[in-house]
Amino acid sequence: MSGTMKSATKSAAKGATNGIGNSRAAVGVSGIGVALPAGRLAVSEIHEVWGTVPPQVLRRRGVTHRSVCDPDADAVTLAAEATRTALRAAEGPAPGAVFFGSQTCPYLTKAGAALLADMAGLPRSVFAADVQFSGKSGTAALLCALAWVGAGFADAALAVGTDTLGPHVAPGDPQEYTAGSGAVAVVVTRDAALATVDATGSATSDTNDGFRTDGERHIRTGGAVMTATDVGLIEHCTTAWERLGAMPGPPRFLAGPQPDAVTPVRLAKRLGLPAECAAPCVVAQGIGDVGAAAPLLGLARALELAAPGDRIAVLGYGCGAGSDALLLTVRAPATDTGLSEALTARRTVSYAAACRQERHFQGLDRLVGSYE
Amino acid sequence: MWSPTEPVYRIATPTPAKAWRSRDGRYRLVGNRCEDCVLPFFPKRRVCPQCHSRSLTETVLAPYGRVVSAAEDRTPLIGHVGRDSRPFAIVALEDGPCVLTELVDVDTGTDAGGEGGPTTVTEGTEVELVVRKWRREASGPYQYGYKFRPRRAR
Repeated sequence: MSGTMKSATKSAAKGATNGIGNSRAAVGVSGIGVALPAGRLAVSEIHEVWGTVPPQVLRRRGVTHRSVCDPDADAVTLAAEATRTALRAAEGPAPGAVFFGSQTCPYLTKAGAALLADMAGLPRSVFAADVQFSGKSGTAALLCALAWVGAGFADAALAVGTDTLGPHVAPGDPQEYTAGSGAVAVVVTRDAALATVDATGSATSDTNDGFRTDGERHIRTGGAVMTATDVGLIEHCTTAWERLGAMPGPPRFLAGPQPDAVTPVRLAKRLGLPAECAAPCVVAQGIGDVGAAAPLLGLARALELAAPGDRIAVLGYGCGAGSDALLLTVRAPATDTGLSEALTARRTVSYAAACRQERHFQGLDRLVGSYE
Repeated sequence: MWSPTEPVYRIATPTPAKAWRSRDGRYRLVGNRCEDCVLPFFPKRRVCPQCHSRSLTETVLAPYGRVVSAAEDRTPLIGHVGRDSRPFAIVALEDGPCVLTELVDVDTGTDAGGEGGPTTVTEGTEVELVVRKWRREASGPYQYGYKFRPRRAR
């Protein structure tokens, strides 16, 4: 999927701006909600235990804490919480489609989207599909929802990016220092209240910088070679960005992928944008990498800060899946996303407690208790 | 192979059919209301205990309420290994009915508190609904349901 969204003929002419944004339909975002678990684990504590990454490298990444998934929470419950906030804020018709974007759904064979549709109280006539298996599944779900509504299949659609990376990254893995959990839900409608989508772009290639084969316990990374050479994140994001076409000037905000707190700013520099457009959207400092939810968290922050008429660029990247780019024009700032509440409600968790909560080690499974 | 999923504890849960039928109540607090005397119920009833009417309509109860009474359960329950207490409360929903429910994100005296930390729940504390994992059913799937936490959104 690439080019502007107005029509095939228009999008063929590269540089044609304003596909759906100026069209009558004005498909876009009319509600957004955020959910984060309250547990926070200090990165320094992980370093004390493993010491696999030098402290100066950790400091450079800019992440001080990562969010820890509660033992009774998972990608679906976080998504349900975010959806509740998003639907409360959004006006208009009920969503007729649900796209559940996650690489860490608690079920490998069963639709998380169906669970979410029931938890959100949507009618049974809803279309529900999982957009799985990569860190860009949040933006991919958003693109699916935009296409669904733009094509007229439903008046509104729900797109969710949700991940619990903490339980799915191996102890001692360099990724463990930033493996967080969180969810963002976006309500997409015609005649959107918050922001309309002007252009979209994508880039994909078979790049093995992160994967989990069937039956494997943990997400593996492709190693330092893949990140150091920029063939993954930077190159895919640049390609997707170029597909957005020519712009009159830099957008006010750039919500990028947040594997750490510095990557969005680095990416902005690489794209020739000022660092000031990426920095306000970075929320990874206190929660770490939230995978599929990360670019949408940046979008939520940007929508809170934006003024009508501002343009927001969203760039998502998923290991082994490529990148998605969206360009939005703000109609009204978002007021009730739950982002600031979710960032302030926190509870310090020790490394030992986090290991137990995220089930990193197999404990003694007493399947029968004396009280049952 | 060791997996991140919880083991299926040998708790006798009702049949999957019963869990499936009750899911809207667990996920969204769907109760019902007597059409004759307007009394709301959670969980759903089939006969109104006040006027014995059988005409009841489903309603989604408000996801907010106030704590009537809070306590902690320190019973060593299987499936809750490592938790030294489970905070729970009776919550009076805004629409009337009371729910006995577990609490999350509250101070149990063992967590590190501090700024933005978990709050202590007392009588009258406003709480809101969250959906969390309850347990795994005897047949395997996760059973999700309501829990409450101190209210964030206004």
